[in-house]
Amino acid sequence: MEDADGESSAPKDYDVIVVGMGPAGAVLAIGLARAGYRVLGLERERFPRYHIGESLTGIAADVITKLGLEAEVEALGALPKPGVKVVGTHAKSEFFVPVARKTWQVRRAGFDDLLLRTAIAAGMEHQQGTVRNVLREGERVVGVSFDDAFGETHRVRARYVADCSGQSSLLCRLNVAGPRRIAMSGKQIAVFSQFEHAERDPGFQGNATCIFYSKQFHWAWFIPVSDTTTSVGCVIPTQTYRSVGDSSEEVFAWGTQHINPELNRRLQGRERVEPVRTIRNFSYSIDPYVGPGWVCVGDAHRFTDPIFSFGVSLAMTEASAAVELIAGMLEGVHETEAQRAYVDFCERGQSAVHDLIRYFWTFPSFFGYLTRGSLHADFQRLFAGDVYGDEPLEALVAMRKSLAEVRVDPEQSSKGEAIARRLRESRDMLEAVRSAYLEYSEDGIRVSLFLRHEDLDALDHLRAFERRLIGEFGREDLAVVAYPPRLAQSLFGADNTTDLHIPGGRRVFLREAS
Amino acid sequence: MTRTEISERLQRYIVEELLDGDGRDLTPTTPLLQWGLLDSIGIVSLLSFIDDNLGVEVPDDAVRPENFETLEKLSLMLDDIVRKAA
Repeated sequence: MEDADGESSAPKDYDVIVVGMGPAGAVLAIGLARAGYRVLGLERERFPRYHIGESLTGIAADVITKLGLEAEVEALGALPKPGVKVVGTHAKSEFFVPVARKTWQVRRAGFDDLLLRTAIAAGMEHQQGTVRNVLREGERVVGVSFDDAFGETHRVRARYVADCSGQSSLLCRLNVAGPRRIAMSGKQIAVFSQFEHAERDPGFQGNATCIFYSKQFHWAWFIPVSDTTTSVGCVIPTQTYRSVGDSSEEVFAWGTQHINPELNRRLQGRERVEPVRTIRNFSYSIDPYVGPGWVCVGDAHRFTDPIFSFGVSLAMTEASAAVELIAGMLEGVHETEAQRAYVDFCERGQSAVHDLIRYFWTFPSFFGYLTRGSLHADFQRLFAGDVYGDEPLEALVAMRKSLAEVRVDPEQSSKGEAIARRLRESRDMLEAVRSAYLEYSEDGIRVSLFLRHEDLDALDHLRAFERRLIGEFGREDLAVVAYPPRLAQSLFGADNTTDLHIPGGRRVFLREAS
Repeated sequence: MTRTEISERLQRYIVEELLDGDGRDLTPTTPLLQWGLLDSIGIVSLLSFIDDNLGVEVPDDAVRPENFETLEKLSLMLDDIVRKAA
């Protein structure tokens, strides 16, 4: 890199270095550059480049409007998004939430490139490069070192560093920000591609985002991104991923066929026009995500199950808030106070989205009723991303109340039911037992088998069966215990097995005592 | 219909339709959702049973987890709807 006067290598000062030129980084850079600050924007990749996250909400449109980019976004061929339709396993659980105000489905290659070009036009200096480390003075971050496209290392200083690196979570990896906590839905994988002429709803709803789901944390998105092209992605737990295919193509094909029959129907005989790509889909949060001289924005500090497409919208909104934070700081506002206001703002939005999605997955059969009832206007606002208000919307209060009051563990119970089914199918195995049952609670699943005879062969047989079950369902919260008659007698007395009962748990009888 | 009657008919429905006739562990305070009994099909068929056989139409706003958590709470909610309609 060269300085303005032609000399290379001497550290050059900026007001702000923005790492990552996705929507968060670009919106931040545009705001700061337009306010007259010297901004360096670092980006690892050459734009335009493919990226997922094609659906926006109302608050992203607010940022676009504020930046004066509405006409440019429409010129990219972005489709107006009429709403979100959610299709479950039963017709009555289906629902549609129309958008509260205008927003779009975008192809990210063109959209992100537009934002980058806008930042450059606003005066941001753009540099392709990969950040290697931060520069520090004491506890304070004062710049970064990065490798440019030719592999040459540069050191640049700035009064402030913003991590907008998305799921790379740069400052977390460099141990500047706090550790990454994997949250909520555990580990999932998304496999995705695009189809030509996939069947859409007729009429104005045709360009809506469709979400198809079946079991908890198994879902698919269906997002029209042009008149003929539709982005389709399947999100499934990593455990399912391993059991349904060896390649991403196989897993994608399995997902489009099995997640929901309606999705399968819409894609029948349609042509897939993009390679199948894979991305991990682990909800996580990083804390702290602000500190002396640095801040994280968007996915760089938090990522939540993307089922309702909030990611880009939250990133762009947080970036707008970060403009205020950083500009204020550079003008002498007390750093800790400015950062506290930023964190409060981010938490309000992130926790609302988190609770909305947690409610959806915890009570999927109740969600549709709630969106259709008297709170339907609140849901339009929530789905538009209006999650930053000082007072939470009534619908959010209602969902939080249910989450706090009603204890459920649907994941555990559906896993318990699946294991029970598998055991019932294995009649020959149950021949050797006098009684058998399965219990589950929030703590785990236990299968208890009481053998008919002191039969070592049967015991071996059961152990092999246990290994198969554990192979299929994981060992973390599954225990299979077999009791030969004498052991059962000494532990529980004659026929009494009730001591085993898990308090608050459910017991499923696999075989009655006989 | 009294609350006890409502509760008894609901209990019979749940045992027969959702528990394959095995109701030995079902009590008024059994956590129905934690047991995984009310998935989306379970809810829909329970609501149509309530409508068809108890003559009570449950409004969308009342279909909330806290009203379906146990048999006791479900009967209370239905009793409340019946009283308000009377």
